[in-house]
Amino acid sequence: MPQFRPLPRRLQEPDPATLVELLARAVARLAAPAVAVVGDQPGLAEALTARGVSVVLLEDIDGQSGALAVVRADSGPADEVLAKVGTARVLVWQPEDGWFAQYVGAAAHAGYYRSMRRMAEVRGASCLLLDAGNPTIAELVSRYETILAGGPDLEQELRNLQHQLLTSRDHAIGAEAEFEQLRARQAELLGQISEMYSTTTWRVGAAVVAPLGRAKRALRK
Amino acid sequence: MKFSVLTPVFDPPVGALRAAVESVRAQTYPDWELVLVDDASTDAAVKAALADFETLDPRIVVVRRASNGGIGAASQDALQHASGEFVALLDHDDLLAPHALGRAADALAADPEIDYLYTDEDKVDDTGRHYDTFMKPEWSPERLRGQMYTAHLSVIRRSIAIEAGGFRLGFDGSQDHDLVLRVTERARRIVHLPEVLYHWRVVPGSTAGDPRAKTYAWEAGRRAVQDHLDRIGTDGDASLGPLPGTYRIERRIPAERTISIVIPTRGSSGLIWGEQRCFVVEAVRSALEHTDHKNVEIVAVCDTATPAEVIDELYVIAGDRLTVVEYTEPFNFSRKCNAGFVASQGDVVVMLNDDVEVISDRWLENLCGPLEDPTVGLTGALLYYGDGTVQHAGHLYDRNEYSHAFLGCDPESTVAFSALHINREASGVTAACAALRRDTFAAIGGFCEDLPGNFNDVDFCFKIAHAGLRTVWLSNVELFHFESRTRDSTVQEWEYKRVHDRWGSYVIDPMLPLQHGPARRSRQFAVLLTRAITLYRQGGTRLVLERYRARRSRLAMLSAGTVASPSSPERAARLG
Repeated sequence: MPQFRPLPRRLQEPDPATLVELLARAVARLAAPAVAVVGDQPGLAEALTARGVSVVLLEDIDGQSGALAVVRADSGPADEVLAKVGTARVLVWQPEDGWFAQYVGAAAHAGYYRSMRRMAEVRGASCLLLDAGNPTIAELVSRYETILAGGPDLEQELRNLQHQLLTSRDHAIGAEAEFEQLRARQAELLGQISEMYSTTTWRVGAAVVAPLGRAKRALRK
Repeated sequence: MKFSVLTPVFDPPVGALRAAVESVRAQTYPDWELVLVDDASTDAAVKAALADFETLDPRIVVVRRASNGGIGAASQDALQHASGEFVALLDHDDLLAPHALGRAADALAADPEIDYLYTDEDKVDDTGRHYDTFMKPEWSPERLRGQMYTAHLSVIRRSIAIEAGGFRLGFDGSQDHDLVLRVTERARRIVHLPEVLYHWRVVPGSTAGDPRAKTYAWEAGRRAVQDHLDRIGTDGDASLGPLPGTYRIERRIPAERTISIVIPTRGSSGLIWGEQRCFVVEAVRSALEHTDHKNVEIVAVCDTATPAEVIDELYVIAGDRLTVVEYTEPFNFSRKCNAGFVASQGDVVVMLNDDVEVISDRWLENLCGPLEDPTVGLTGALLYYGDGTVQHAGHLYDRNEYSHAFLGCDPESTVAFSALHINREASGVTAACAALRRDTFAAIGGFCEDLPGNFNDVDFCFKIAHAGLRTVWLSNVELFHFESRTRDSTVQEWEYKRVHDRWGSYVIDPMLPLQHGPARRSRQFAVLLTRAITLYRQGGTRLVLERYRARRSRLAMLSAGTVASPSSPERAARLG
């Protein structure tokens, strides 16, 4: 049956390996002094360690301020888990859809709010960056209005990038096709040359001219 | 490699039967057997001739049926008695070219994956005159659904024919079409040998002389095509086509399939059939009027200069299905189409010029239906000029030129073996009306923006072929195209060169190989004359001479050498 694969209207869920890579990159960029990993994601702890980030288990991080926690959203009720980690920043992840709104709502009760920091790694549907704090209503309104105002620009930016991708693909395909044409033309010309070398006319001509060539070289010496 | 030539026999003219048998005996390739199945002939002379053949050559096998069972039953008997690795089908009054089996053996030996092979053919009358040479396209599955174009000579791997169920009863007259449809569903590789290796004899009452002679065969063919559609899971109905031996397919598409119609426009108006009209408004109106599909989005890519009242009118017609994209840059058709694509959301994208008017009902269903097959990359339509002559029936990449097939033809014309009346694969189609899947558009990088005016669709179609996808032209999707009423269509030298540098060109179009005989030359002359008159009316002698010089210099440039593309062996063989 046909496979219809429309372009994503928003960023698609990454595969597990990509998710680990995204999380590891995000943690490295945030440069937090310590990190706790909550929830099982094969390879995540190893990827963080490989990037020089010290990984601490949840039970050990309790009470450490200034640290970053990497929490899987379904590790437990948001307010309970966040209260337990108590870090200044929490990177929440889960490779499924539809958990953001509920989680952000619950996180607010634990004193965590969506971060204003814009990071490509956490723009997808799988990751969410929360900052601990106690913003006023005015601050929150200001934040969300800023985000809303930035929305259409992001869409336009995405369209422009998609358009650029199209033209880049066209150029790549065109360049490849032109290269193939030139290679074929080269092969054709080489074939013609070797055909010419193998003709009697050429061989006889070369035999006739050869003594002259030798004489010319001798004269030069 | 042994061939079994299968020939069901029922009361043919004895002379023709002897000639058919002799044409097999005259084969330059020796490893064959001829299986003649007498379907209870009533003519004593035929029976005597068959008895003669048995003694004439040990490679001739004669099977006698007790009662007349029809050509399907006789053909099946022949298949059951065959022992060769491949079977070749020969009618009892036709002729094989002497090197037919030899050529087939060479091709089959070169590629052990070939399960089905067909060749070109011509007709021969009782005076021995050969005519009506049918130069066939490369493997063209859509055309096979519309017409039994592979017909003669067909060579099938015997094991595949048996696995497919052999000849079925109840399909007399189209038993070979029915079998070939089933064989091609299973075949690993299908090959066309572009050489006339079969001569179809025209005798009174034969289908060769008058295709209307066997209407029962036509109906049997329709059932064969319908069965084929059902087997391959195509949601559509086969019906008899406008010409004998042709079939039409009405396709359906899933209701949830979202379709975006992308229309680049500047909101121009003009006089059509004595009436002033805004082109894009009529294009959108007719497009929506002639489809039952609900999940349609209109993406109008409008120049900044587009009058506001035109956009208002589009909103009235299309409502919330309309998306307007403002285009602020200098004219570039390709860039406008790409911008429209990026703004669209449909699973399928239809590129539509604003100077068209849809004529046929269910046009969108039929245009997008073939795209449910993942091997189809692009579909196109039949376009008419305002005077009703053909403007576009697929592209024709022929004699190193890129042009429209059947340009200026009478739409009723039966030229090129009904090619104007059946759906078929084409080397390309115009972007004035073309549909493709969203992923395909993205994968091939959309339209080349270096080609803002002309030949961007030619480049587009070459990219589709380069991606290994088929382009299908649909005769039952009809539109008027008031071409170039909204812009100048003069082709510049560099535009041609740009496409040629990328893709080369064909001496013979692989999907529509046309004979360049006197009839075609006079038709070409007529088309050129018509074009010259049109140009003269538009710009006087100066414009005619300008175009003539441009064409001459292009041909001169080409005669300096055509570059072959190595992308496929068939294509390379076709290139000059």
